[in-house]
Amino acid sequence: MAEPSSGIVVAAASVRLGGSLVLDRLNLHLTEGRIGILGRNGSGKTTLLRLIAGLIAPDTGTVRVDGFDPYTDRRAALAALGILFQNPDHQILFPTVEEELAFGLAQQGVTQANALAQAHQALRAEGRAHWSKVPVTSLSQGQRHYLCLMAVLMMAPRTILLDEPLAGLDLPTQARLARRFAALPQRLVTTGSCGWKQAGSSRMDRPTGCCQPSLPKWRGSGRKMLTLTSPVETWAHPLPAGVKLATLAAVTTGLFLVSSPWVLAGACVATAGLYLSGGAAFARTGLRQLWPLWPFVLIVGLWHLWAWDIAAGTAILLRMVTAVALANFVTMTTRLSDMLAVFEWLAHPLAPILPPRRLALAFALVIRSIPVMLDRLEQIGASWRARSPRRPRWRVLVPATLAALDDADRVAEALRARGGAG
Amino acid sequence: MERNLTHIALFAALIAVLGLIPKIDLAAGVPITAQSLGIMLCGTVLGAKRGALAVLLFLALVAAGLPLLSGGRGGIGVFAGPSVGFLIGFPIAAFVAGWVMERTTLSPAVAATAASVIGGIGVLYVFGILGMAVMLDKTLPEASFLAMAFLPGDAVKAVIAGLVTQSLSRMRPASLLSRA
Repeated sequence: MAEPSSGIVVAAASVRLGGSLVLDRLNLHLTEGRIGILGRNGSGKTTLLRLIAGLIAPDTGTVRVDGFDPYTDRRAALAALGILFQNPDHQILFPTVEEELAFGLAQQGVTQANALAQAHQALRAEGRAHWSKVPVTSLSQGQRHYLCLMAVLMMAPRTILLDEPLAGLDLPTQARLARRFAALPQRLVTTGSCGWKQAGSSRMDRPTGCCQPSLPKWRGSGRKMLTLTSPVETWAHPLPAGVKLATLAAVTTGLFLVSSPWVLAGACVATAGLYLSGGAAFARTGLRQLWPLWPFVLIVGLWHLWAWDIAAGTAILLRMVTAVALANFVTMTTRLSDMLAVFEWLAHPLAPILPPRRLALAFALVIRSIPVMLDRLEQIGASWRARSPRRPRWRVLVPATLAALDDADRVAEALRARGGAG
Repeated sequence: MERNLTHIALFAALIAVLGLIPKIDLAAGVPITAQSLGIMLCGTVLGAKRGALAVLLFLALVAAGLPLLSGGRGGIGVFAGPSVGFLIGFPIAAFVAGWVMERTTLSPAVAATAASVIGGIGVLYVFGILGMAVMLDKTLPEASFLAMAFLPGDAVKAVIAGLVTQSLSRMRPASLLSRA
């Protein structure tokens, strides 16, 4: 029996993602050199790997790798663990091969020049010296996978986590990578869905069929697009959105034509009454939404105190708060779809250049894309954290922007395949 | 046609997402929000017309009631507040940044930084300062003084926009639609 502090110890660990229980009080003690995690699609293999890598924390229970917590002790985790993501495009952060290889080393404290030198040396050792300045996007899928593996190996971790390392690769590439994996001295933890061979090694000391395949097949990210519409139904909810917007425009214009603090105070009190007519909970939410105005209230307040111009200062602040509160009231009592319908109606005169159908499609595409892109950015952040103890820097914006461009191309193809944007 | 539409929509989503993610760190460890950087990138990457339309689409969804501005703000209320000038200036800033990008032959890093400074700071601040002057009843010099609080952060973001645009052009030259 091995020391309890050595190897990978998962004790009663549970993980919830988007409300569903993905791992339920899992217990594992892994000390072997070749470990396979087998299970069906959606059974939580990748989640377990991310848990061991310290990219996510368990909701309950503990995870220890060689005695430390990989989620909180990131420096120790980087020295001990490397993770190869399933999709190389989720792992690669940098434009050129040498930068991608040097990144992890630089994060471990090696100087940039030294890290680049080591990257060149590693490429020469692999017979791929000509890759160093090559843009990563010009490499094939299999070559990108290989690059990711090299990047992980260069950080010299004691354990490498491989997420379906051979999925989607052609047979010769699979064979080459499998030989490479088999020769590695490190402990390998591999996920796979169909057996040993697929799991990347001819030798497997410990198959771990740990993941219950009893989970729902489909699991979204659990993100919900929140709108500012109040769930508390008020008398103003059923009124037509167009009427509310027109009234708002008229009243706001009026507010800017008045400069008497007394009249503005009256408008402010009336607005407060409007909120209270929706009940205490509704009014509290409304008050919270005014919070972002505080820096302006502070600056204008101090300014006018200093200039001893109290009447004007009071009028400015009352007008600002009332105008914003009234507009918020319309937002809180109008459904997103009704508001968008008004915008589409307003855009009608533009129909020859902007057909209403295309505008509606654009709204829908953005709303649909935001959660997808948030997931994508989280993945990019995970790839950064898998190789750096620090928070993501501006460099993550490059793969993020590239992801938006790629998704745009893919969605355009999907639209064309189904009859175009109309 | 479809590609134009999806690029506009996906970059509108990108601006939103950049306001929702936790702040990113600068080299010195100073956290910044990336949303206004998204506005600059719309111009430098998509070009003038598509960039401005992406920003307009984003603003329409904010006005319709989605809390997509950084800090979780949204609704029509943000257009009635003192920073309305900056919001009105956003699409124009993206347009000018894109226009500058399209009309220079400088290297992407230099062109995109210059475009971001001219559009994302110069043009944007004109609108932002006018907006604050009207909404807070201040003279233009007074409002300009207030706007200076944002200048150091935005200057850094313009440089980052230049670096990101350059990296994109190196990674995939065809991805800079502003230079297509």
